[in-house]
This record gives sequence, C-alpha cells and structure tokens, in this order.
Amino acid sequence: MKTAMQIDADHIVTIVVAEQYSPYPMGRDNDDGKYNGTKFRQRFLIPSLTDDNITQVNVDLNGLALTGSSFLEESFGGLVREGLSKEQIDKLNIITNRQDLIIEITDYIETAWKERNQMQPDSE
Amino acid sequence: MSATGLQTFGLYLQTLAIVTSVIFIIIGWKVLYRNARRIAKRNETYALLMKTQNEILHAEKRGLDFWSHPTIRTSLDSYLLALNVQRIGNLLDLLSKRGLNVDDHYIYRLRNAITLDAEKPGTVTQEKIQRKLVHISDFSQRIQNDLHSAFVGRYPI
Repeated sequence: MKTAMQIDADHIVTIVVAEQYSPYPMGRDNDDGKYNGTKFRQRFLIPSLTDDNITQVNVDLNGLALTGSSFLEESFGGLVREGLSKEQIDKLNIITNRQDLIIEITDYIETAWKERNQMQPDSE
Repeated sequence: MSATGLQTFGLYLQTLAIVTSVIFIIIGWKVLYRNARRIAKRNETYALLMKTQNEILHAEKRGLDFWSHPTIRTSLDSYLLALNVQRIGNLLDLLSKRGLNVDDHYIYRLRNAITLDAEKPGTVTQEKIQRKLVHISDFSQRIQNDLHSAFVGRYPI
C-alpha cells in the first residue's frame, strides 16, 4: 500500500485506489477487513481534502476487483460524519467508467448530509 | 447487321451476362454475410445476456437467503455476496458495450441492498432488513426487465 500522494502543478491530487490502496477494498472498519473504508478515508481522503494547497482530489476507482457498498459508504459518507465542510468534500472528483458507482457515492454523501443536518438543525 | 456485328453483339451480351452474374453473386454474398454476422452477433449477445440473467438470479437468491437469516452469517458469506455482485457489474459492462444498457440506479440499488453492512448483518435493524429483501427482489427484476427490453429493441424478431 502506497500512501504518498503526488500533488501536480495545478494542485490536484489523484488517488488510484486499486494501485495505491487495494484492488479488493471491503467493509467499514478493521473488523471487516484490512482494506476497509475507515482506513481509506483517514489515510487518503481526509489528508488531501483538508489540505488547503490542494484544490481537487481525484479518486480513481477503475480497476477495482471488488466494490462493496459498505466500503463506499464508510469512505465517502464517513467524510460528512467526520465533520468535513461542504467546500472540502466538493473537492472530490470520482473517476470511474461505472456510472452506478458515481450515483452511489453521491447518494451516500447526500444522505449523510441530511442526517448531519437533522442532528444539527442550525448548521449547513 | 453483318456477321462480324452479330458476333460482337453476342460477345457483348455474353460479357454483360457474366458481369451481371458476378454483381448478383457479390450482392447475394454480402447480404448473406451481413445476415450471418448479425445472427452470430445476436447469438453471442443472447448467450451473454443469459449468463448475466443467471448471475443476477443467483445473487438475488443468495442475497435473500443471506438477509433472511442474518445472524448465522460469516464474513466469508459477505465476501462471496460482494464477489457475486461484482461479477454482475462486469457482465453488465460487457452487455453495455454491445448496446444493452440498464438504468445505473438499479445496479446501485441492488448492490446496496445486497452488500451494505453485510459484514455485520447482526447490527442491521429488522426494518432495514425487510427493506433490503424488497429491494433485492425488486431491483433484480428491474435489471432483468431492462436487459430483456434492450435486447428485443436491438434485435427485433
């Protein structure tokens, strides 16, 4: 697993999940597997999304041999639960030839926002 | 008309008949080739469609079994479920390249119903499990219907 992320001249980071993390990510936490959503979120997504020098975070999902919903929900929906702002999450750019994955990730983020707003009615 | 003229005319007719025959043979061969190619392509797509339908039915059955008895499941069961769903995605990709498309929302909904929190099925509420069972059956059927309609539309009888 390679955790070092390269920032290009346009301040864009690209994370190729199958190469830099695992082609078989699965589950929400360590109980579910080594390459789980929480670990991916904390090692890859949060450091790049919260870095003010980075303007866009490309997450390339092509080449994954396994894409379970728990991993996707925990990785991306978890960003909202973790307290990241809308501006930070908007830096995400999902790269995949599977449109259903983009719909799924978008839905998890939107659902997490709704849940967060219900818990904190005065916030965003 | 002189004898030489008649001979030339005869030769001309002969040549015309040969050329016309060759043209008809080429056209006929092209039509046959095109139809054979189309039938072969249809059969290949149909075989792929059947394989995908079987995989969907398998995932549906496995998903319904899994979520009907969530407390006796192991992490291997959830892994197998995820692999099953992944295979469906790969097969649908192949069908999409052959012009048979399925609503992407249905694929997402089926995957979500089968695999979300399958690693810890004991933590999922009864209400959510009931919704999962309905969605597994519903979206499996919708995908199959979409595929069938796309196939009939692309290869009308």
